[in-house]
Amino acid sequence: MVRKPSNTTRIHRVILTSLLALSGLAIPTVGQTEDAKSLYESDALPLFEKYCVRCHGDKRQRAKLDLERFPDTKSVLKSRKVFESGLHLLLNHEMPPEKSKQPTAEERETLVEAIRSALDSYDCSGEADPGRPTIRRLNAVEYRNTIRDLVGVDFQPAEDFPADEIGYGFDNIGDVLSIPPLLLEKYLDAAEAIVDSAFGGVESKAYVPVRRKVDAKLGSASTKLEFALDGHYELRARIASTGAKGALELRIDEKVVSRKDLTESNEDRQIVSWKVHVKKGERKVGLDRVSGDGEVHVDGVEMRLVQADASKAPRRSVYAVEPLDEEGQFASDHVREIFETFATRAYRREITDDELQRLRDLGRQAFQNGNNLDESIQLVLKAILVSPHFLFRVELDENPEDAKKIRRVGGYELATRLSYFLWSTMPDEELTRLAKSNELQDDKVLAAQVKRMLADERSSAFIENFAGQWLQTRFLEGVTPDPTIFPEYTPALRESMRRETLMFVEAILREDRSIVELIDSDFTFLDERLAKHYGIENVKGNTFRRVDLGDTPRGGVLTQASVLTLTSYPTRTSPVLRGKWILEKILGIPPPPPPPDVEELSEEKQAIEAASLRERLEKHREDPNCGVCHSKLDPLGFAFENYDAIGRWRDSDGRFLVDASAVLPDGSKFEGPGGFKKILIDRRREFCRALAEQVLTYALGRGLEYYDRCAVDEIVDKAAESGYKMSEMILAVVHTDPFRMRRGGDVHRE
Amino acid sequence: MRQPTPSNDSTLSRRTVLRGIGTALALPFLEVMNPAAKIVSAASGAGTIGTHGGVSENGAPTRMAFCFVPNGVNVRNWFPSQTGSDYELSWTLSALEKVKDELLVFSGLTHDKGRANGDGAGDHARCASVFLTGAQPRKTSGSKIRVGESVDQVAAKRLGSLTRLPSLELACDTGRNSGNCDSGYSCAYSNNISWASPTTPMAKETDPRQVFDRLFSKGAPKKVDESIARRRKNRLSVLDFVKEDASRLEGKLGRVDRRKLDEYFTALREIEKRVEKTPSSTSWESIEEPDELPDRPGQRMEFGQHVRLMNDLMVLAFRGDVTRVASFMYARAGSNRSYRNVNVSDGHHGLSHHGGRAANLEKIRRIDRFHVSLFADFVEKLRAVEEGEGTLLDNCMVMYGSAINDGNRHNNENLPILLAGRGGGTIDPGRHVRVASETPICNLFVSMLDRVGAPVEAFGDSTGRLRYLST
Repeated sequence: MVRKPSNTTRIHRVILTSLLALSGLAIPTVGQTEDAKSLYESDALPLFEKYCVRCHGDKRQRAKLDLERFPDTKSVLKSRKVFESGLHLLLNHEMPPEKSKQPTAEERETLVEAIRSALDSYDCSGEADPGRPTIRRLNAVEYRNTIRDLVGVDFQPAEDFPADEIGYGFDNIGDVLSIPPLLLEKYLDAAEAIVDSAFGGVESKAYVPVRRKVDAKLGSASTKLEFALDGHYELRARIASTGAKGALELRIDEKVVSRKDLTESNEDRQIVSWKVHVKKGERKVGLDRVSGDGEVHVDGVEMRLVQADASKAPRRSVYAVEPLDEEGQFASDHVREIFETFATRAYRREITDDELQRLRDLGRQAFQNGNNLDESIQLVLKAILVSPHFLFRVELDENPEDAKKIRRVGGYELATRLSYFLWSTMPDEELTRLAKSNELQDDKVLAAQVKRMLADERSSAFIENFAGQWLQTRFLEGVTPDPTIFPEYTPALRESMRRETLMFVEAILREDRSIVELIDSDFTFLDERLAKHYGIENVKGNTFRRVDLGDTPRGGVLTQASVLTLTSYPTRTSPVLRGKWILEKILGIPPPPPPPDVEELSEEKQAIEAASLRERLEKHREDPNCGVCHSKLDPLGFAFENYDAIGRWRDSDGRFLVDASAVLPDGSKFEGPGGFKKILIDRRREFCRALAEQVLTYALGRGLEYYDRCAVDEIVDKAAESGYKMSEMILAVVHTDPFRMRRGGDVHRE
Repeated sequence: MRQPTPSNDSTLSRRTVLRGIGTALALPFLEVMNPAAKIVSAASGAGTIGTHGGVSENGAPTRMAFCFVPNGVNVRNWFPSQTGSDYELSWTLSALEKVKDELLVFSGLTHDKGRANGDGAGDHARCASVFLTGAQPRKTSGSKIRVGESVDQVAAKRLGSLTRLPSLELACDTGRNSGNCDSGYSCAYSNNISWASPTTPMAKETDPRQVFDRLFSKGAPKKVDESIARRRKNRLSVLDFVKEDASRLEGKLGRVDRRKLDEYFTALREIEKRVEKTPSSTSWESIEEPDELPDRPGQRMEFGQHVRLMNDLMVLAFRGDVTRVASFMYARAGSNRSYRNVNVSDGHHGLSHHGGRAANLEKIRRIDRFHVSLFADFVEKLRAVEEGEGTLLDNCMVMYGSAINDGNRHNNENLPILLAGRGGGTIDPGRHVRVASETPICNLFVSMLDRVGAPVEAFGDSTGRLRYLST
């Protein structure tokens, strides 16, 4: 076999050091430069002397490295890269080389820890380094939302775009979002389809989404919808009405226009649609329950233009004015206004005279090529939608290569950053106005805007995209419990699980609650299906509602079925996966992956029947090679063994009673999920830090660097002052330097 | 065969019935290939086999495809025990019985750059990204992704101008349902095998309906009054305009951002070519939709059907010379798909860490054989198409395999690799070839590039050419 010596032992060492925090050894934090310095000097230097300087000293300088030139933390920080790669080699047992004298495991750990502490001792008191995000392409969700707000159509094909790559756990990372030919081709097709459908005449593919949710008993359900054109529309209502009978009447501006019998159906959610002719403008659309029995709830209403009236009136959102003047003559200043207005919104900034001129030239050229006036204008709009200024979020520096030149981002840039952070879409009129006047730069104005934006419906995009990826509910669909063991797990149940978690996080955010409630809380949101799954009574129907959890064994995301299912195998629970999830998501110390040649637990019938999962895992840990890691992972997962692989409560697993107590590596004992959650709550500051890092990564669209520690500290401090309110955390993120400043150069300055 | 359905579209009838694939129509390449062949041979010149310039004696182009499966295989049931032409297929490979004569089974090929080489854990991410690149991926969760240009893309760049699409990248997973990527490696590494450049993965297409529409240009004009020529002109003027936008912008950006704009430029140039080559609608009349192809995009389908449809599409694309290069990921690296159709409800990745247990190994070999049977479907379909004197398969080189040998050990030597087709008469299949241990698989890639008409001196960590393709 040609394979190099096994990695197993190496990796286990890595684990040890990564888990130090869990075993009670604190990671030095910023501000403790003094300690770090002494740690480096007291621990690292003697070990360098003992094992390294023979080759990497003043005399030999192998790989041009002379460790004697690094007597203190400051000198280490100046050559950060050297020490980062050195750390890597140490951890992988590649240094010292095989033939040289090897440090003991303990010494190696000490050395790693000392170097780390030096690297982590970034000084926040000096001028902050805000870093720089790589130019960001809109991802599929942002594209779809932006088109919705820019053109007024919900362009579904954004779902057919090739999947956006994920970096640092999120799909909005500039470095990772590439633009391969296939995608640009889709953008070109999409631009054509979007502009064409915005002008009616052809049947529009897309439904215009209505953000307001109508969630009331029928009879009182009504909402206001903006109809942009005269024409025939299809209106659809999503309703929840298991077993309900009777008829619904559709009212537009208090006038009954259509009536529809409810089909008797066992489907929980059905869609009722009406085809009606509507005049443009804002209309009040109402639904009346006129007969029948059983409860009916309306989840939402949406509309789609089927056919615009012949007048060819273009969409207001696309044409700022008519291209023809009142006498029906071509008006070049009108056309200019159309271009200017549309491009300004699409590029999320003011456009230059030169850009405007080029747009006009393109229009003229299109006209000369045999397109009519409308078609020529539309061609220009299509080009705008394929332009890099639209597809990318561009932030320009005067000296893009100058890493020293730190600047505040401009008003428009700030508005764009804010808007994509909290809404996953382009800035609205108010933000744009404040960007233009530069008022947005004012701390108070900025804070007020964040508040307004969080209160707005559009911030549900933040929940979907941030929380959905952070808590991974977005990936529930990829989890497939074995249907022979869990026939109860249906797509509908999965959807309810996902929805519970997102609604719950949304409530924490919108109600200014503390993130501690994410760990444990006394309420959640359930529909009948999920309530039954939890064994909670008296929740009827398919509408989600707030439920008081009282003394049920639920509360917080850790006991929600979504998370419990996500962290299980298709056939059984996995305390290991659950432990890993908690380390990653709650405590922010992701454990290293298992070495490649470990044995999985036996899944054979004999083994499963002979001992409980816990006993089998404990046996597995007796092997010191395994125990080194699993003693830190498994106990966290044991806390949740009372929940099966799809999140139902259970007292026993097969013929074995569940034992949900455990001892953590630091000696603290706990009893069941409640006991464990108390321990986690005591460590709220660590949780806050882990969450802050995630939110900041998402907000910036880049991976965090060492210099971002300062911003993270600031967020954690501000959040702690507010009693860990999630909304305050968001506000703190927006006020950090990396969010409000930028510089040129590369990710690292040196 | 699906019955033809009346189409509203007067110019395009997509569902022309054509029994006996490829018999009744003049293949497009026969008309256009000769001039193209001259261009290629003039451009290539070098290379040991390159003299035929990627075009066989009968004038048909040589095509190449690469199929990737994750998580290694059950090694014991994969490799045949005898070598040479008189060998017996192993239990797993017996699914290829019908096409044994069209097949080279390799043992001994190695991907050294798939090994940790100091980068620690993350074998799954490495195994996908190294598969066609032979390059060590840079360990990063996002910033500065870098691996290498992949072999299919090297070919696509050289041959792309001859066909409407330079290459086709297919996959069954969207990658959307996976947030967990491997040990500090960005998901880009485990989700992609084709890399346009060391920093840009090619996007994959996963929806068979959309692939079909794109291959056969369903982007036909929607408005009756818009002529095809004008539409083409309009598109080109849009592309021209945004190209100018991009070059003005590029001058103002820093180095890192310029890389992203470079991707945009590359994409633009490719689409321009594509728009220029958009066929007039009539030339696609004789294209027949695969039986199982859904009417609309976004339809869910069972895994086996999905793979078979992708096979159909690659066959159609090769047959019509829409492209000559394809890559296909059955699943992303580290995939935990379960295979209930062969009675495996555990996830593939979990199983692949089999710990030497008989029950796990049994399940893995069932998955392996199922995968291989889907590859057999592809090979058989290629062989069913007549081309010139022989079959389409004769003018293809289709490789299948994984960049991990055993999922339990995550080792990267002695990879399970198959090659089907005769490469335009330059390959003698029907053998099990055992190469010297540690022979870089990149040597095979170099030899394949020769045959497809895109010769290179070296590729990845190649040390030369693979000599054993012909006897």
